[in-house]
Amino acid sequence: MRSNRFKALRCKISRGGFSDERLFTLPSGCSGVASLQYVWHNDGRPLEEGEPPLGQVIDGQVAVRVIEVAENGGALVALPDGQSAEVAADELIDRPSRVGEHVSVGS
Amino acid sequence: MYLSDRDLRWAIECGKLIVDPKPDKIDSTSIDLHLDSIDQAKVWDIGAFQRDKAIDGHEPMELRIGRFEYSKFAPKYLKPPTDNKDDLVFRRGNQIVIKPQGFLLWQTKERVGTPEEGANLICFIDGKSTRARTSLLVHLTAPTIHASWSGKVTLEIANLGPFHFVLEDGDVIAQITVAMITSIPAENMKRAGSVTYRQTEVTGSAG
Repeated sequence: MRSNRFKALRCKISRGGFSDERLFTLPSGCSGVASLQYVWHNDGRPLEEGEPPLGQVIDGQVAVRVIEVAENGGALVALPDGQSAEVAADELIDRPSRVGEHVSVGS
Repeated sequence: MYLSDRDLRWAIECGKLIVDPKPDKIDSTSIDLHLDSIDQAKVWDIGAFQRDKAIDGHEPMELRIGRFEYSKFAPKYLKPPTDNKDDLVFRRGNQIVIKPQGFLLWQTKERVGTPEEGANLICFIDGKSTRARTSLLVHLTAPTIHASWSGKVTLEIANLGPFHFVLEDGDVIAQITVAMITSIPAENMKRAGSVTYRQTEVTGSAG
């Protein structure tokens, strides 16, 4: 059975400087960089290399690892670029698929 | 303890080490990494940066590194090299030429790292020693790929010597060595280092 440490958060996603790089922004305003395999469309589909189109921002999900859940309803999570962030535990959602399960066409 | 060629091969086969595509050959203690397609070579748009700084009334070339946020900076100032031969880094057909003092970023063709679950290996990125003797610097800092992360690696490449380096898609540019860590990390990160929930001004950093 898969550990419940591996969750996702809703976020905004845009293209980074490289084909494997996506920028994510959490609702709190916290932003970071993730490899393509750590992000999904809002409906759970993996992002492909050309998505989203340059300059566009889409709703999506980013993979996080739960480090700690506090009694006050907060959770400390590790983001794909090594940052950690405090979020509301009820913002955590199940990941659509395993990280690395989907290999983008052309990658 | 660093992995030998036999252990590197074993780690790839059993999924403990991710190198995708799989390497054609493995050296005694390292695996070569190659440059991705030429459109993955990028330089900083210093002109645009200077213009923005001037508009804001700041010193044109100063970058306050303590507040640097790559995720906000890169979309504005990262661009492909042009074919202008006066630039320190320029594109010539399917090649990138780096003149002395030139600097660029270029992604690797390989996705490397370790799986999220149960990772007990870390990777170190390094340049190739013979190329370094020509003053080609590759991956200047932050060489560690921490356990449980994988992806294509963005290399920092600089020319500190007298030659004009010519780089192409597929060139061997760097290598990884892989070490076993003593136990699987517990990820007990310091709360002080975390980004606070609902915080709007964030100063996190990658790497």
